[in-house]
Amino acid sequence: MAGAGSGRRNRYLAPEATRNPLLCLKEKKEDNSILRSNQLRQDGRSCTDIRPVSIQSGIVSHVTSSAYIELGDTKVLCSILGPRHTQKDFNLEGQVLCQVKFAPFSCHFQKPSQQEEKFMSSIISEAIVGAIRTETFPKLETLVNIVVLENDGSMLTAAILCASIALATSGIEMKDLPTACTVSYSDKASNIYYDPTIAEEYSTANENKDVIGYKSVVYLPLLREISGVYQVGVAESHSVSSQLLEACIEGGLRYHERVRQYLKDLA
Amino acid sequence: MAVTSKDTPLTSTPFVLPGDKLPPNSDSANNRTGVYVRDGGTYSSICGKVTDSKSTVKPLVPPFMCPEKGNIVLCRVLSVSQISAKVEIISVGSQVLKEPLMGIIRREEVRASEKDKVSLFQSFRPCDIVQARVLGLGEGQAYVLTTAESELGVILARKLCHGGRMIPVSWCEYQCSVTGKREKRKVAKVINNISSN
Amino acid sequence: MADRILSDFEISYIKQGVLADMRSDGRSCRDYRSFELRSGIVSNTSGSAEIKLERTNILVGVKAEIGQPNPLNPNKGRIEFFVDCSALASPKFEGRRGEDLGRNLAHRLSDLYENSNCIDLESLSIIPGQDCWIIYVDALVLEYSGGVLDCLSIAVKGALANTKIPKLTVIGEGEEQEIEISDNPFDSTSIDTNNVPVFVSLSLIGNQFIVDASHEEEACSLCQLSVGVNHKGSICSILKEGAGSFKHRQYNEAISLASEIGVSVIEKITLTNNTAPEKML
Repeated sequence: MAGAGSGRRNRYLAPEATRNPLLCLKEKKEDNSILRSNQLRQDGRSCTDIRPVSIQSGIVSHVTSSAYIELGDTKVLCSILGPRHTQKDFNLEGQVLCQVKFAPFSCHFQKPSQQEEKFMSSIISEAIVGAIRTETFPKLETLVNIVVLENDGSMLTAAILCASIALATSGIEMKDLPTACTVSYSDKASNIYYDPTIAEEYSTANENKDVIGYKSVVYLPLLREISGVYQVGVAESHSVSSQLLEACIEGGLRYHERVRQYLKDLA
Repeated sequence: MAVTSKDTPLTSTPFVLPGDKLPPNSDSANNRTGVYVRDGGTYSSICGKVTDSKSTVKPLVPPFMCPEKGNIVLCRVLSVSQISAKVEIISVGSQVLKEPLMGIIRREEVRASEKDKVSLFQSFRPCDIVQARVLGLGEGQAYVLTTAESELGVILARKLCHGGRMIPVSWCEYQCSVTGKREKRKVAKVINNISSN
Repeated sequence: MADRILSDFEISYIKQGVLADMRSDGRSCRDYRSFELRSGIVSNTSGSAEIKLERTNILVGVKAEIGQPNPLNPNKGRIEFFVDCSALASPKFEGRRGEDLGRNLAHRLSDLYENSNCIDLESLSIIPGQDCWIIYVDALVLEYSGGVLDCLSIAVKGALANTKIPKLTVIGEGEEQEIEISDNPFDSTSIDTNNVPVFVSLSLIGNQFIVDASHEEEACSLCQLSVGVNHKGSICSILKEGAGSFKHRQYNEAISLASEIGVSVIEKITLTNNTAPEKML
């Protein structure tokens, strides 16, 4: 059984029996509702607002290309290596590998296990590989390295956007620039919160009865195709699920516009 | 949402992203880097500015060029054995690769004539810069290269012991500019523009 | 999970079959294969089940043990999954090569169970912050030939429904609390698995999503949507796997199809569990 500590073996650890002092708090914070009385969220956004986006590319010097993105307090760094020789078998199509790492200090409590990192890697690589023209680098591989420096919700969105910008500035040919959006939702999707923070994202440790799940969608805006879906938590019916998808796509297009503006300014 | 619809050609905005539709083009869009064809339309596959009506995209970042059959590449010799020389490809055509790719020059493909008399040790030395043509993708990691043309071969050599510049003196010899000592190489006849087949 | 390499002819045969709504084994695109679920077959466990779907064969054993709760959720029990893909199931799992798949499957299951609140974990708590029931779900893939995630979720649901947890009583107050187990081995509670979802995987072949792909069909599908569905037809989790992409309309059709199929599969499981002879601990 994979223990909780197995993902952190490269780091000197305090004894396993340590605890985060915050867990000793007997009384949880009283007000954990997401919306304030004026229908705005705790940070002053409305339900459909996204947090400010800050993008910078080319910040790592020894790689093919790199990008850094901030969605509010979520900070993600991505670098592209290659195309270069692969250790795998000969394949006429190029390979795209993706590796997601969480910095040990990236999360409030425990950083995700190695297994979860692998899981995130596979979601991201399967979502972006469809947008890359792999036939332009036969028998080579491209490595997409993603480091989550700080996770304050919508980490998947940030990772996809960051990979997108890094790929766009790498010279690797692509069919489309993937964009993504995460929404969290309350029961029966009566409230849909775009770009949730970690407190607004659903988790079992979060005693947040207002939010029952979240959904991330990766969208290829110009091909108009969906290349990745990850939903956690219950959606009442398939129509609710479609409604959430619409919201994600709408949010994704907003991010896409932001990315387009950034790349245009770069030129 | 001011997202450009995929059906309207981008005549107004000269800046394109991967996936943006380019104006219809009389040239065949095939075999061009930075462009791909889907459902009869021509789309950009890189970021850049559309320069003219022929829908040429001036790239923001030079697109990655994979060595293809017939390309002229520049490579640095890494090691030489009796049957082959291992090289790393440092540029394809005029574009420098961000990460070098491996290549191999087999004994049979060093020169066009008297192939059986070739000695690799008298053709290349480690650290030489060689101009070569890509023969194919190869099976393992390395690309298969050839220098069996008079324009292909060593274009830059240095004396390993003191780093002195060597000057080509014949089709098979380089002479050291410091000591005057001669060494055997497969010398390239350098001309300015070599066609990439 | 595609490990078979198909020729172009085989691929086009399968694709045309999907287009004509007549797949190679005679099913339509919306048909699920019949499966056989047996529960309560391993005597050393608290609950167990075995599923056979065509040649895929999975055995699930559940053990309930007492341990410490997760500090983040001190008043809840825990449920842990482990999936073993050994070389027994397929030669490609030889050595340690099945480990990644096994871990991935286990992660998918725990993701589904944790986030859909399908099991009342608070009922598994014994002394909050100190002791709780930990339900270890161990699955053994005996033969691997497509549709593993679906089968796994069905078998786990079957095994949990069959699980008996001994009744405990907590004696004392404050620091000196003690746990006492009932002498009567038949004195046990069961887990309410009514809300437990199952996975329905849909594979995209050509332009259409099909249900319950066979091994060959999996090998030529571009991408898969695995959807967790509960007895009410609610969507409890969605994950897209594989490199392909699809249109909005295809997605909506696929999800509503999955919800329909999921409900019918769960009905079948419930029927099996109710008719199965009760086996005591």
